Amino acid sequence: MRAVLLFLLLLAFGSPGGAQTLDTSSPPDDGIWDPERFLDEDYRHDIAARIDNEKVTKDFELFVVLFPHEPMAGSEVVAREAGANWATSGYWAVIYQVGAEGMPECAIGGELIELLRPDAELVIRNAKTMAWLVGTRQERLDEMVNEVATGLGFLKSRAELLAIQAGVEARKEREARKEARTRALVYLIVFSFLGLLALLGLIILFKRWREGAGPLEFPRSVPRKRLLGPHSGGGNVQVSFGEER
Amino acid sequence: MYLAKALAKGPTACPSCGFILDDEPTACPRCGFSGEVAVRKFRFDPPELTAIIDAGQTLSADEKARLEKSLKRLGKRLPQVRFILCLVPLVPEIDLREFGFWLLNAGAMPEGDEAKSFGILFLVDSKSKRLSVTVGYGLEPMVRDSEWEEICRSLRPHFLRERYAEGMEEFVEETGKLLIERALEYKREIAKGDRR
Repeated sequence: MRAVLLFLLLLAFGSPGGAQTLDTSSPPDDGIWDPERFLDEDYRHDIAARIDNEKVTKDFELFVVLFPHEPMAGSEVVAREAGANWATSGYWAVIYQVGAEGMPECAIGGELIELLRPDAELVIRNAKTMAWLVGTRQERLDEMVNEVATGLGFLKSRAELLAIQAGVEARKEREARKEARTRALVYLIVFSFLGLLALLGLIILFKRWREGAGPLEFPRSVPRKRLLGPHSGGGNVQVSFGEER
Repeated sequence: MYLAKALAKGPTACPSCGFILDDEPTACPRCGFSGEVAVRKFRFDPPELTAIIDAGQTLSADEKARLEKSLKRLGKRLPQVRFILCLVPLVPEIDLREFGFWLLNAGAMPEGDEAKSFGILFLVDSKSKRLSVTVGYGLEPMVRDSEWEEICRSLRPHFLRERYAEGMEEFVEETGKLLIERALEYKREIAKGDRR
């Protein structure tokens, strides 16, 4: 959305002085965009080497943007957009300045850097302070690049560790949730089963109670009449309850 | 209608000598005991077979009332069954089983003789200290003699202390439990069709 707005603004107002417009969609080959050639070749070479080194050794993407003049959308906005579009990793910085005499600034971004944003911003403040102390403008930019590269490069491993920890914690949380779901399912099954058993028990008890609740009758049988007893054949039950002598 | 033999829990025996009777003889093949012999032996009019017979006037009115209440309560669950609780002093020479055989066959029941089929005559001889049980043909297959004996033995402490009412009440209670259980068993078995 911002890119569209920028484009429209540029179309509407044009770029003063006929200077090149930063193509935020495609990064410069050596990571340096300096259309007005503010940087000497030596400095450009050194900075390009540092950028390449950080990329190779730490997968830290560093870009340098030298605006000929303040863009319509603002140098910081454009620098951030450039970084977000150019970077392929989650850890990037764009060192930018406006004009040959401008003070270098830095925009950072990426999911890894977000883990350590306060520390990263401290690095940038320190880098700017160091850059202020240096004499020439080219040296200032060079100093800024070095300080940012060193500081943020150092922070990267911490950021990666934090990311791993976050990943581990996320995994632990996922596993805990999965375990909780499994446990809940087991409880559900067990209690459902027990509930069914209890229900079955109640049904059986109810049936027993129903069959036993009212008057009971014995089945009628053909009597075994014997010993000329019309109603009873007598029994063989006799128990004494007297004191045993 | 079922054959009594098919329902029977145990064998039948001569009330005089205890000989096991396999079929239905008119007299015991071993001792010759029969109804004729019993009538000759007990040459007097039998009493009416009411629920409580207290020949020696031993029980109090309250005790009789309590017994009647227990019988009435059980009667709701087992309407076929008729208890005859008989407390009588007899000499040792009289065999209680022969006496029971004679009394249940010869005595008249207020409800008519049909009621004797599921009658239970519980004899308590207060003089010779004996207990016996005689039942009608209808109830006979439902309970073994050994089960009646077990109930009687459990009541001895009451009768030993001459607590006749308590003993009789407990007899009614224990018999009631056994008969209810038995009736439910038969109900289930008949429902399954096992005894046809």
